[in-house]
Amino acid sequence: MVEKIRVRATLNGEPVDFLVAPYVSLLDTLRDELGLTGTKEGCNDGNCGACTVNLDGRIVDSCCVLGAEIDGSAVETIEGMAEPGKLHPLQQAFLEEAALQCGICTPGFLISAKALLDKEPHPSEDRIRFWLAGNLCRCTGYDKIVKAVQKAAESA
Amino acid sequence: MVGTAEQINLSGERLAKVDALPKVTGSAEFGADIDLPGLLQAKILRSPHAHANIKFIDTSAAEALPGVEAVVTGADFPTIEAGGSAGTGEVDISLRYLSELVIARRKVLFQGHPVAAVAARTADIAEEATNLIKIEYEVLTSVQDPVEAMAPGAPLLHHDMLTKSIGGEADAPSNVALHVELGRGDVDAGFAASDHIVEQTYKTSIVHQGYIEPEAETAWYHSDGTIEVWANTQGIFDHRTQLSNILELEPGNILVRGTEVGGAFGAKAQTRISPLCILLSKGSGKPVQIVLSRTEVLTATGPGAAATVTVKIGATNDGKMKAVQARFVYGAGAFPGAPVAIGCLCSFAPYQPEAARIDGYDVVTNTPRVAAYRAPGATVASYAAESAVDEMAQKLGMDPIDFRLANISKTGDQNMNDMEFTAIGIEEMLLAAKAHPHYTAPLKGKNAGRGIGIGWWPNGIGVSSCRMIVNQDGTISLIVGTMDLSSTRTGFVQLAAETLGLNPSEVQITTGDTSSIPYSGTAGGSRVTRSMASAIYDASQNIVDQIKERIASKLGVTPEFVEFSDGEFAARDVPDNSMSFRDAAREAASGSNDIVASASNDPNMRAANGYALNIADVDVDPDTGKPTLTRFTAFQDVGKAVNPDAVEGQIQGGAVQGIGWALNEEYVYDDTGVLQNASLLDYRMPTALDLPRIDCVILETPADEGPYGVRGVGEPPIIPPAGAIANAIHNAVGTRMTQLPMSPERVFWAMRDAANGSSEAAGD
Ligand code: FES
Ligand code: FES
Repeated sequence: MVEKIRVRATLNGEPVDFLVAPYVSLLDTLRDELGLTGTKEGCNDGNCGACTVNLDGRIVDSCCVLGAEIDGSAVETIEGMAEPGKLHPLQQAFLEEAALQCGICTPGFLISAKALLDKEPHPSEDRIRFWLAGNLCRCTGYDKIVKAVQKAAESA
Repeated sequence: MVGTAEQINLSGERLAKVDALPKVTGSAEFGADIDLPGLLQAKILRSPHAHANIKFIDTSAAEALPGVEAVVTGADFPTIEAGGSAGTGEVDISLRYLSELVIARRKVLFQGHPVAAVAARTADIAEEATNLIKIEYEVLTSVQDPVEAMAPGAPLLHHDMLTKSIGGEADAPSNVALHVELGRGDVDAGFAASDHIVEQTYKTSIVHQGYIEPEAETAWYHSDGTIEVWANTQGIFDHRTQLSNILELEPGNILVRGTEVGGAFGAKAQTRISPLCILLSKGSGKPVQIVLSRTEVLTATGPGAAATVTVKIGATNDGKMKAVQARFVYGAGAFPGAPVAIGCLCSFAPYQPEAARIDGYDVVTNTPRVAAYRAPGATVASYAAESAVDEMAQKLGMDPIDFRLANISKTGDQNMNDMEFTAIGIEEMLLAAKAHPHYTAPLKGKNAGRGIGIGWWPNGIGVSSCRMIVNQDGTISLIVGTMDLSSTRTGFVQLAAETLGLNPSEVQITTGDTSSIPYSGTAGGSRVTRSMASAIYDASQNIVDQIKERIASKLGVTPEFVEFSDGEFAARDVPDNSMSFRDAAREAASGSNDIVASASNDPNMRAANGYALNIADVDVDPDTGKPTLTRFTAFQDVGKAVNPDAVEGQIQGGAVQGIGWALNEEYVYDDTGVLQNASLLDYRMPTALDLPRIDCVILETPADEGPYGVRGVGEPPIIPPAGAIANAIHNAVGTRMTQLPMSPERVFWAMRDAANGSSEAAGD
């Protein structure tokens, strides 16, 4: 049995302190060790974006990061996006613009889109499409997702 | 009285989806999110070979590994005799073959065919244990291409499979499971009377549904013999029936709960992994979960069929389609049941050729068994037919819409299977496209072209059931038995709310499990909204009648004098004596009696056909051959758009799947039958960056029968893109693309061949 590693990090603004085996991905760490199942697995090899989280201000595919790597870092997941009783404008826009169907891709899109709007509050449609190209959605054809991001940008 | 369908004024509001809140906050529970005390994880050992006999399996080393709790192989499963359908929806499979697809017995028939499964404390231990299982294979020659599989001398998959046809059964086994024939009139005379004839063979590869959520199922076999199952399935009841049949268990002992389904498109209509979970749980006494990896999804779940289609059309100078002849060869994968009959039917359904002869062949190959994929069989059929129809329009010098209009199917015409078309507005759809600004807008780009394509789909119907409960505060709880793949819950809330005169927020909806609601069929065939609308309508009517009984005295009349319209109960002929539904329901429910109604639709109600049209603009890069979509408009007749946002979402999503199929997606096998692109990097689905906006034009020709005039929406949108894009590429660069996907490489070589003066067709 390999020895687990102690990790101290900030998760959705709260300090966390846990043990994780060195080979476990951040995705599995979030889902299995920390009980946050809002981050989804679609491929486990960095090609779908369903597992996107924000790591120290950058978006990463959490399936391609190790849980042990976040020691000392700040991680944001979908569970931390809304404030109590108040959705983030992106969540609100996704809801109002019907920017989701099955919803398995939605957490990843929201985390990616938030990182874009945090950096660039008023991106063009092309810029949004380029930024979101790392997130696959098989249900919506992306149209309503792009529109929802535009709407959230306008409302900000 | 509740109004009749015509009287109900469905507003077609853009109601925010009722399932959206948990989905935007990450709390929605999907298949892999199920957790239970002591839950074990299981892994499947799969065949590395496309075709092999299993000589022996030794699981002892795996069983001895610490942390391993149970191991199963094919020997642990009941032997199912031939015959009996598994009821897996649009692409059915026999029970025996379903059982052998879940786990191989003496023979593996495709790379990835399950041969054993191990449950252990962790997924890692289970994985390690599968590597300890010893299997000796006798490797056989394999065949992946359905046309090659038909040839004499091809490796035989099933030694007892005899071709079925109208004439009976063949004498000797082959890889052809079924030969279907459709047609009318004298095609030879039709071709003889034609001024022009076009003929071409089109080829497509296996594609995958590409849902982002892999299959994830969990089972708990309790010590009293009852079983709980959690599955991201399209149909909880049919899932239960399949489990009970292939494991020989009492259906009443199995409770199936559906989780949220992260995309399915037809592929999650059959049980794949919960039979393994059940036996592993029985062996270990603990709940067992299997979550497939993406590689497993691509290698070994049901993809969409590959096909080779030859089409010949004859027409006269005045644009009359005299004769059509076509031959459809569909690959079913390891076990029979490709959607070839429906492909044949859909191919020329939009048209009324004077004579037609269509032959279809269902052929087994050493590839994963196909499952339904959104309008299964129709997309490739339409690609071939619409390419040929366009080719003919060009030969005749006619506008492609005018040529189609001259031959279009109308209400009351017969389809190729002699069924009469119920209300069909396909002519109106063509006229709408012709009048749309996109059709005549100037093209953008140097090598630009515009194409159209149409697609027809019969849609399904089946049974859907709901239960309505009046809560003590006068609101409604609505429980449905169908799985929600496309925002159907939101539509149901709207239908119930509008029928009863409530706000949508006053209707709470939940999806039932197999013990809380009467049977509902699998969500597939674009059937759910239409059939459930009928059930909801009947349940609402029943609730209204019960409330009338209870509140009549309050209104000072006997129940037969209580009327209900526009959400108000009123005493007939008594002015100013009315109550809103909510008040009346609160009043009626305040006593001790429960007001509950259950309803199912009439299973004999006819399906309402669906049809869609695309206008596609492409610009082809002359140096790389890459076709870029620059504008795309999708037309579809939905009868009545219950929720326009949901309808547009279906149209856009379906169109983009069709676009991916047309331009990027295909399975690539090496010559031993090993899949070369089993990842989402190499199996390339469209991203946001690859696409223009998908503009939608929703048409509403009400369907016959059934409330609200709704037609199924989900499947038609995927049908026309490949044909429309092929026609656009042809118009852009003059080459006829006869193979999907129309990848940059294929377009490049087709252009090169055309420039060198060889055949105009690519791949000839
Ligand atoms: S699961 Fe991480 S990118 Fe797909
Ligand atoms: S909504 Fe289903 S994959 Fe995006």
